[in-house]
Amino acid sequence: MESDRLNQAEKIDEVGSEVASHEKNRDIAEKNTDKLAFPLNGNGNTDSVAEPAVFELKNLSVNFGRPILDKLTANVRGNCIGLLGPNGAGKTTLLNTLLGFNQPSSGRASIFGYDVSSQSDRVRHMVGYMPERDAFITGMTGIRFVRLMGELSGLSPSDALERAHEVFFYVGLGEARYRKIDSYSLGMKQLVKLAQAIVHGPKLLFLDEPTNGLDPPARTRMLQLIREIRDAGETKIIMASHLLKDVEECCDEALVLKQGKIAIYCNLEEERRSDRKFLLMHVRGDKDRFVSALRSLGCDVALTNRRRLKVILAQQIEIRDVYMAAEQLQVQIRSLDYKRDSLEDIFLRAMEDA
Amino acid sequence: MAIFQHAYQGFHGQISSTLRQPWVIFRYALADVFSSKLFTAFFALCFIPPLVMMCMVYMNYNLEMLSLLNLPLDKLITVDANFFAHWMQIPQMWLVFALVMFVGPALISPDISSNALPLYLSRPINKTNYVFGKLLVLLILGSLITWIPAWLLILFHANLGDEPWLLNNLHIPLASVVSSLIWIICLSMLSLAVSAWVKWKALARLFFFGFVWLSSALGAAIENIYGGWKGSTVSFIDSLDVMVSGLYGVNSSSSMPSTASYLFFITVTVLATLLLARKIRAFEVNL
Repeated sequence: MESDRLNQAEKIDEVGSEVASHEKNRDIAEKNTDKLAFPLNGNGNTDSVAEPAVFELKNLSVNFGRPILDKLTANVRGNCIGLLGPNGAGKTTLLNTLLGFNQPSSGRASIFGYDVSSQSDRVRHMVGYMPERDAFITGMTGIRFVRLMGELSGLSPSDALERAHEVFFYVGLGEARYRKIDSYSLGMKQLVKLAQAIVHGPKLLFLDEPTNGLDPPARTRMLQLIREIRDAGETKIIMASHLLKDVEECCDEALVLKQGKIAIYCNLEEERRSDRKFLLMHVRGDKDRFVSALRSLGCDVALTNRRRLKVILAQQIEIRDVYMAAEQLQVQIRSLDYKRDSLEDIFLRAMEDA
Repeated sequence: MAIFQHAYQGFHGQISSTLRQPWVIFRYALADVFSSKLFTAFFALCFIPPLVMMCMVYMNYNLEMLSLLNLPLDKLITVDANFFAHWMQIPQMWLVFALVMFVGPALISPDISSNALPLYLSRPINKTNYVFGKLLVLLILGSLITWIPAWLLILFHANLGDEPWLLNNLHIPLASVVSSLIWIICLSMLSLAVSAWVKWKALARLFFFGFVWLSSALGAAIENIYGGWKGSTVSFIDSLDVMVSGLYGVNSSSSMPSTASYLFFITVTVLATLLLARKIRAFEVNL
């Protein structure tokens, strides 16, 4: 045991931050590749699994004068998929491309095995879309608006009217359905956007920042509705958001984008189940060398600010090893706290690694 | 699912074909148009000129009424191609202009300004179906006040006369349909394109009015300066007169050839279509 520790101490002295970071990147890349690379048959369906992927990206690039999405490859499954990333990462562009609003400059994208460019008609029969910005037809009552959207999705006038009433009651706006949308509050408008997106019972629901501008009770209500739709099992959900908490509460998979590339794709449930030892530390001293030392021990480290570190300990590493590394490098650990790994940590790591 | 069961369920009913979608857009747009009492009154007034024409045709064949009203027989209007072209067709065409100016900009600009296009275009409906659904409103309303009453009047006149007037003048109903459709489609596409461009109903109406009348003023100015018929090639008023006169086979006030008037309407329609294709999209890309 003592000799092991000495070996580890030697490793710390030999630390090369570049090497450690390369190793870590490779590990993450391998982990992601395992998830992303599914063999495709002619229909875009996977051979290995009967149910087709919710969406597949094969070297998908989108350019608007400059590259917005850069050769994305992913095979995404799950009931509710969170699309995360900082502003300008390409979340909305990816949603728009999947909806067929953008034409890919190269590569392809498919939804449930149907190509979004060449089979857009079939794709649009299956999807519902709740845009980020306000999107209504002025002067219409809520019920008439949602009924129109139902009819445009292919429902007969009577079915569309019935469904419009149902979804209005479902989202909690039953009493306001005969009012003009212009008179609705922001929270009600968000709910109407959700109502029009689900009126035709889509197989796949795109939600672009669904809790934007909502107060806490309205946000809670919106997230509850999203979870209910997910749990009903008839509709898969893709939810783009920059609010990690929202994604964490609703989604079982997360695809993190950064600068038009996939930074990480992970199953949140697996991440939660992995139950990794997770430390939150405040340190003083040569932080960079300390981080390199921890990484050389096999720990994942995310820097949240100048002195705060989040460390996921490797299997064989104890807290004592962390203290030893700090002692050797004369770094003070001012505070140390156990915490459960959150989506925020996954996101921060992805932002650092990508 | 009953409305008191507040749980989410998918839809398991029948989904119709995408061919029905333009019809849905047409139905809703038409209902919106007739929700304006002002427009409904205007539309009703558009039928008065054809009714007056019908009375004039009727009086032409009713000597008893003429003598009762003490009207001289030599002052009667001759019901021929000239009557249909200049008394019926051209005035109704300008009513179409007013109708398109009132209705056209209200069809697309609210959808664009309130960001509704992503909602339409994320459904099984494409840009062509969307524009066609909106165009259908103008096409049907325009037809109801131009060639459809003209045809009724032609049939009425043919029915009252003894000789086989209709057989000898088959070009008149044909001219009525062709000239009406060219005018309605051209103006409708122009108004839709302008409203997609400026995105504001009131401004779109002003622009549309300006396009039609300023082009005609420009044409008149060119004619005054350079003479000849070249000015007429940019004038809606002259092009309409030349097209209608050419199709009905009557004299026109302009010496411009009919082909130039067709070319003018085709050019305006194509340019408007290109502008629409550019402006009707789910979102604007800011580079």
